[in-house]
Amino acid sequence: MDRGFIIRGTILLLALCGAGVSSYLLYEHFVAPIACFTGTGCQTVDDSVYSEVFGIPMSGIGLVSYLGIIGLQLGNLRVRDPLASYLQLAVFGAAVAGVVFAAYLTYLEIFVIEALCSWCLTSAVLMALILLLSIWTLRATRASGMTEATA
Amino acid sequence: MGLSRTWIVATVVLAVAAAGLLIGLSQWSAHVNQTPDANEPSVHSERADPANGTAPLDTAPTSGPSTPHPVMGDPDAPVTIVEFAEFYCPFCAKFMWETFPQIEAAYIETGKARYVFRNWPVHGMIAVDAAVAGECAHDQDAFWAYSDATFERVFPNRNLSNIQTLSMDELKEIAAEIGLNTTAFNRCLDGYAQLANQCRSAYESCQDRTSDSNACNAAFMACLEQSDKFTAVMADNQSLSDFVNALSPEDRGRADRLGTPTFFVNDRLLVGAQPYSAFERLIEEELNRASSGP
Repeated sequence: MDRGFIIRGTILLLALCGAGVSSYLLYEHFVAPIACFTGTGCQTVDDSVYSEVFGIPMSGIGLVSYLGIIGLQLGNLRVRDPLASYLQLAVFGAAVAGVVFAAYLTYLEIFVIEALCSWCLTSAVLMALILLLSIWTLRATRASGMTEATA
Repeated sequence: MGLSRTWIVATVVLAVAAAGLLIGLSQWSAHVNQTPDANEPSVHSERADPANGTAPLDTAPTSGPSTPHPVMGDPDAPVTIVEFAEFYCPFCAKFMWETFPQIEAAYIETGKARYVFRNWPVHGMIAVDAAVAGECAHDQDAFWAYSDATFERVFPNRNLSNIQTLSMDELKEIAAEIGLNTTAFNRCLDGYAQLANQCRSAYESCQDRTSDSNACNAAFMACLEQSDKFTAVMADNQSLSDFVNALSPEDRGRADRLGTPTFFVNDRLLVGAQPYSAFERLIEEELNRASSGP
């Protein structure tokens, strides 16, 4: 099994973990209270006005993003180039958006809500790892593409 | 095939723009939710100064109908939460349905806080009528059940924009519905209602006689004060005014934005249908203060 395949599989696994965390938070959003690793931060964050965007819970947005990444990554593992490359690019794009948004949410937690939610941070770290790995695969794809082009 | 640099740059730009859009929506949504009503202001941190005026706190040590105000929870709890509210205020209902159950579970049932209700009727005589009905239910130690049932009637299907005005008969129906002694309840409410009718007629004839509406208003209030229930409701109102008047001019400017419901966590003011986290923060601070000694 080649290294690229393992890394893509790892992205899939991380996205599955993210979907799990989001599902749990979504469930707890409607059935309080949340079991936090530390203290009552999760409940405070979940009770804040920032926990929803016009009625849509943040965890719901997270779940949709992770499911999207899972779908794209599954497709990437099954199809051949050139479609596979574009799917890989889409995963990278989703991860960039995910990390920017997670950074904003973490900023809110620290400076505005003044409470940290361990589950939300877990999700932010998962998204950051997905981004790092997708950059790696993107570089590999570009490198191999160049090799093919020059071969 | 290789992905061109242009594709990657375009993807990054698109992704950042999408995240930016979502951030904008989030900020907008938070802004809308944070100001559900221009009259629902933010957290105040003024402390009542007992030396300078009266804090509108209930100091009665026991619970039950013998206390002047409905009280819930351990009488010896280190934190006292006082709510000033009325039955026709949408935010009071919203608070009762959404936030109060969390406070009850975390602090009242655990003996950390006790909860006191006090009247602040701001929607005119209909609100005073309902507040008096609440006092009549309190005579039977059933204020909380009466309050819950009344909010459900004033806002059918919990629709906060659909306010139903309750007649005296409907206020009596609520008492029957929650299983109160209706003879005692009706006697209590009728006593007030009959007086209110007399006072209203006197007020109308006063207006026919004179153009001095202030004098007529004063006579109307004096007439109503023959009802001990009306007096009790107004005494709650007065203690909140006393608190505001005791504030420094600067704090009073901010307190002008007081709205229903208004809360005191010990002597700290909290205004509006605040999220649970706002209560949690103040209660925890007061608990810490209590445990670290005076």
